[in-house]
Amino acid sequence: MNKGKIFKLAKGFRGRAKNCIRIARERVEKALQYSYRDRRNKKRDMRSLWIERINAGTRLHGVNYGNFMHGLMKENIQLNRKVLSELSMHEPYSFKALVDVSRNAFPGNRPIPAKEGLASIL
Amino acid sequence: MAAAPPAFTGNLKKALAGLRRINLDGLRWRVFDAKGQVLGRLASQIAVVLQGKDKPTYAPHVENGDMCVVLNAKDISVTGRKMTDKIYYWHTGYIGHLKERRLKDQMERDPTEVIRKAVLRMLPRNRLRDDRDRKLRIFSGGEHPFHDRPLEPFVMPPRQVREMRPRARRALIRAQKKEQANRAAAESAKDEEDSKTAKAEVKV
Repeated sequence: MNKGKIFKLAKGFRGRAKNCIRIARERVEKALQYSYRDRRNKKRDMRSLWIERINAGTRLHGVNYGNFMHGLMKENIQLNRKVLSELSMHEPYSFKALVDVSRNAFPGNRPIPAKEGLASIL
Repeated sequence: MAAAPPAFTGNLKKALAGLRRINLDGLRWRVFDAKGQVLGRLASQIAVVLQGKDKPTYAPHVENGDMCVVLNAKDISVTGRKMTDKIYYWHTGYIGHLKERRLKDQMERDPTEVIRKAVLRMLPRNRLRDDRDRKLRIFSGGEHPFHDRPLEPFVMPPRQVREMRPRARRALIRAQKKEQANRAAAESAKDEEDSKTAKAEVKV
């Protein structure tokens, strides 16, 4: 019964870890530990990915992530990073409006560069 | 169309190597001009573009960087005494065989390797590194065989150059004054020669 459950969880493992109970038991324990840890890590990783995307999107408009967030906080816009990253990927015009709002609220200290590519159309 | 840009001399096979392996639709071709740029600062910008980190659709498991073409690699500049003092070390695996080569010698042998090493060492060491290397094309001169592609020049972000240290600044001023004195001496020597030859012609 326990062995059956362990082999069920050990599907797709490499080598003897999917077939032999002694090795499979160790590997399955480890796998469950990793999945416990990574359920918490995933939240951190996703947030850092959202921040990278927002950074890339705002830099296309001449503002960096820090100044952008500061401007949004000042204007009390409570959109979270997940939504902001989705906007920056799929709704470029709305995102540019947000960047302008932030820039008006908190002008950073960088001059606006010459735009190229998609940013020049916006 | 090939008449306006000059014909590409050099290794065409190397320049076009592996282009078929890259999925090229939607990628931009960014052209970097290395003339007068500082090596590390240029390399970090290239690395950012190559990873695709300037696009909001960045994903760490997908390779979505733009193609980077670097021109004028032989005109790259370094600050300080790095031209003579920066040494590239590598170990061949045999015991005692730590090889070294100076930046000066490397520029004589192959200037593109300098930029390639700099950029490659700035990329994250993962499975996408080789694909990113394939997207990077470096040419030591100003010609490249990619004139039929939609090229976009890359504008380097403005840089705050550090003020010169007092000792270095005094050395620079001394060197400038010395050069002016030399030039003035050369001109006066040339004027004397001209007047002498004029007199000789008049006499004759």
